[in-house]
Amino acid sequence: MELQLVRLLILALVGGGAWLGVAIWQRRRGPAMLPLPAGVTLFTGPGCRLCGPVADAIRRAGVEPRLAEIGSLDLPGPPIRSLPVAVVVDGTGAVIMRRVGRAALEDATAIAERSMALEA
Amino acid sequence: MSTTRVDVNVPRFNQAMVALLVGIAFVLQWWPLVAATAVVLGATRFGGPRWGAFTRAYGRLIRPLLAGPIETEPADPPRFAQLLGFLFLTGSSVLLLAGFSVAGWLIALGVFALGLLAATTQICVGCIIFQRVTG
Repeated sequence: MELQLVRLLILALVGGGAWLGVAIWQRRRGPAMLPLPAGVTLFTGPGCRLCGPVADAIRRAGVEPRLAEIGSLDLPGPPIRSLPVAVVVDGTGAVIMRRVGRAALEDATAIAERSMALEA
Repeated sequence: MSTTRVDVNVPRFNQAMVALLVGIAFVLQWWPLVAATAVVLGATRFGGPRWGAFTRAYGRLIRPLLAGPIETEPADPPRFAQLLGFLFLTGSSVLLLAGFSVAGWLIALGVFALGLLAATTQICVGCIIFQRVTG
């Protein structure tokens, strides 16, 4: 029983270590993804079934998203695998909100509100 | 490269099941569960989704609970990751069977960590390797 608890602890350490490693890697400093203009940019691509619904949902919430074709961009780092990606960029060019895939659809209203708050 | 696409939740569910089963196998020190997981991955990879126990379980248990449009992604990267998982778990099983417990469990723990990572963060290392190699 004690040995099993030790193994559970090892599992937690291995899993947590993997998470920590990725968290550090994801937060490493690097070149800005793109010089994105302020507002909402929606990355789309071929075969992206959610892209249209997300764009429509953001428009319904009162903001016109800027559409960017993912294939035409030269992005550093691992490629973005899930589309769409909706990002809200402030006046300094910093990404202040980022939603990927289904989360972009579910948070379309929040994305639009965040963008409108920047303009106000 | 094929143009086949897959429901994004299918690879996530598969990876979660791999992490769960390998984790249980490690805690119980029961290598046949590692071998069984390898067999499931191999059957899915080489036999198709029809032979995939995890894929079928997702289709029956999880998919009916999800509403809205299905988000898809290219099938090749997760299929490659699945192949890597199969190969490493098979290697782990052989080592464990041969009595090399430390090496066998180290490999299994590596698969556990990557499966957990992919299932919870969508960072699929096998998929990234595939995209780097082919892209």
